Amino acid sequence: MLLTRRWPSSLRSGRRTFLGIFLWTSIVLRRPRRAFAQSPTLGPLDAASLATLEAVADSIVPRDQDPGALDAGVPGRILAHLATHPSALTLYRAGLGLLEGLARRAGASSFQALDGPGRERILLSLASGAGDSRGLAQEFFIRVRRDVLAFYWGSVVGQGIVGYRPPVAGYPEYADPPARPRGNGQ
Amino acid sequence: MTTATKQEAFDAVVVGSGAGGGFAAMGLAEAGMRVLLLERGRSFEPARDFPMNHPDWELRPRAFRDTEITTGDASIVLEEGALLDQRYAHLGSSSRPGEVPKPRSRREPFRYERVFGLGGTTLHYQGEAHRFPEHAFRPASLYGLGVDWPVSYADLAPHYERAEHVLGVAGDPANPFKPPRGPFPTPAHRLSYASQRIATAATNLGWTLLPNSLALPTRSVDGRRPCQRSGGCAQGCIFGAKSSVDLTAIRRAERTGRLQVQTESRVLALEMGHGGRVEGVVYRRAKSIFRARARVTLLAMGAVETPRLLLANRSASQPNGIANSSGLVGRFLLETLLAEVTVRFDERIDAYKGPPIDSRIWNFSRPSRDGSVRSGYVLGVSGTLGGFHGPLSHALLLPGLGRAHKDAMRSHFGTIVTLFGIAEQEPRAGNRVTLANTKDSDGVPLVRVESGHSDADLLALDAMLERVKELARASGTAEMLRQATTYDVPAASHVGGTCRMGTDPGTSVVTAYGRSHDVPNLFIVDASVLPGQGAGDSPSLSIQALALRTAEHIVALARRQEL
Repeated sequence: MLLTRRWPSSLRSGRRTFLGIFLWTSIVLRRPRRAFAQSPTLGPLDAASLATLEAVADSIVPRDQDPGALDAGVPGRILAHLATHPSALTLYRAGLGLLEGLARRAGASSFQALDGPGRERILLSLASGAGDSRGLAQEFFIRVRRDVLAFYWGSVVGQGIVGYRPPVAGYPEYADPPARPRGNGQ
Repeated sequence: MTTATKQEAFDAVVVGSGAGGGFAAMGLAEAGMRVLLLERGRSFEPARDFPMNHPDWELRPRAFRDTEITTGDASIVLEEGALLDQRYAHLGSSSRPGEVPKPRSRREPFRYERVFGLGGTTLHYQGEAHRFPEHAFRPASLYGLGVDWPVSYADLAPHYERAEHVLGVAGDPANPFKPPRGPFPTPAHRLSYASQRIATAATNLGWTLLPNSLALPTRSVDGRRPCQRSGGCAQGCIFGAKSSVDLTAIRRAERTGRLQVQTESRVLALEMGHGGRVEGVVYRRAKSIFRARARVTLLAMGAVETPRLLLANRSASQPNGIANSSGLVGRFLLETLLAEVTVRFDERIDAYKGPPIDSRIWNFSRPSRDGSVRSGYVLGVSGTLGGFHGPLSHALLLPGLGRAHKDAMRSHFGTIVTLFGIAEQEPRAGNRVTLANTKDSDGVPLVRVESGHSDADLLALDAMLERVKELARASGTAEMLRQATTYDVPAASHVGGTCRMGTDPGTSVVTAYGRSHDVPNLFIVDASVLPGQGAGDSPSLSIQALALRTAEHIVALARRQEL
């Protein structure tokens, strides 16, 4: 029978990555050169890209009555992953740059500067290939959404919000009516 | 590749350590034979190797991910499936909640699940331990469907009982849809809360939802912990409680001192000798080639790999491969007919807790003859099928992002369950495994799998889907999230039939004892020999019972010096 889907799966490298770099170059090179010169490198991403990544993570799983992706340290988990996965890093750099370009086209100084609905609009536009005819936008959207959701809902923080206790001690109460989750969200 | 060879002699060599191989090895070793058990995969240590030992298990690689065979299988050529009968287009599958099934003209490429590892696919099975019903052994006589088995339920009953005791099967003997029997080795599990909810609806429909019989002992067996109801069978039981073959039959066989287990050893060829007998096997371990000689060879590699090996061993004297004078090796492939709906309740039911398939409905296990013949099927309840298990799997399957997605997680998690049916496929010669022109890195030809549906199959799929929807409606579910069937998307976990047993050498590959009609000291003890699929029940216990019966027969032949 069908079982759970696998995660993570490696990205396809090659032609799509190459095209992604190409697109990234065309969008990101419009930025002032000084921005590059002044960006300190924080692990695999520079400060500007890291700020965008944090804004993306916060948009995908925002903080509300329960902790959000930033509270669960999701950007750090992604950075750690990117540090050892060059093809994913390439995609992220290109995708984050694409987001910045789209934010500027929308009149904002950066993706981070947008409000919540504005960020969601741009993120969702990636799913339909906005600003990109070569598939990078969709590929990045699928990847970053999956990574943020996975690192959040796979963490103890995310598990607690929906009242999930990992099965390391089994479920002796399996036949009883479930208790309501203790998270604030219910 | 090192060409140095090592030659050892055994009474028996068993190739493959899953349900059939492990039990055959136990039967032979406990009867005094020296046995070599060869397994292609590695062995696993439950407390060390399985992801559920860690709270963030959903982020970790699955233990069997490199050994499971799905799409992308190194041994199966991926190609378009059979043309679909568009009269049944409504059976199409959606993969995500709310997604409309895509119209397709052909089935997706064949895929099935198995594990390379000591214990084989029992490492990730969900522990279902079913005795096939009596009528499943005589479907042709009773219903004009398929073929009668050369063994009856009565022939197999004592071996079923022995296998159940080795496994510590938990169950309730009061099942009116099964032959009368004594108590199970361990008491039945209580129904999970999710199954309790569904049971009420089933009763209202006039059906009976019963506790499943499971190789998940409710009491300690052989010093192992009893089932902890973690729901983690498919990920590898971290408690070592699930009665996979490595922890049960193989351990027992090792205690005799007469079993030698060799893991990570892939058999590449059978060595034929004079008089049409098999003298042993050639296998690769790491980069070295070895030979093992034995008086008797038993194949237990499963319903794809066993015919693959036989077909690949062509020679001038056996141009169709070994044990294939009938031309039937690889034919009559039986895959899994599955229909499921994933539904959501308005309240928490936490269906992920408890044995993954803890209940069954057997009301429809007899084939129907209302107009056309329709195969028998069994319904079930599962908290982990349909792709939903822990929070991460829910998060990835639910659409959207932001607040809406987070709200959906809070409202959906713990409310989802999958209702499914599994039917017996009608055996047809055109459904088959054949060799491809390309070879793998060991030089063994890949296989092609052709599998399509008969009218009886389609009627069964249609009936199952309708029944599970009916059950969902009666259960008061809030929403149907998705439907999926093997009409268009193969998802086979029960595969058999490719070296079917029978009494006539012209219409079968092996005898009722699994002995090749052509090669007197070659036996097959896996799902290949099954002529049918038990009306939708899971096959592992029947494979184990048949393997014990074969082992007993081999021992008797050896004692009479007739081997």
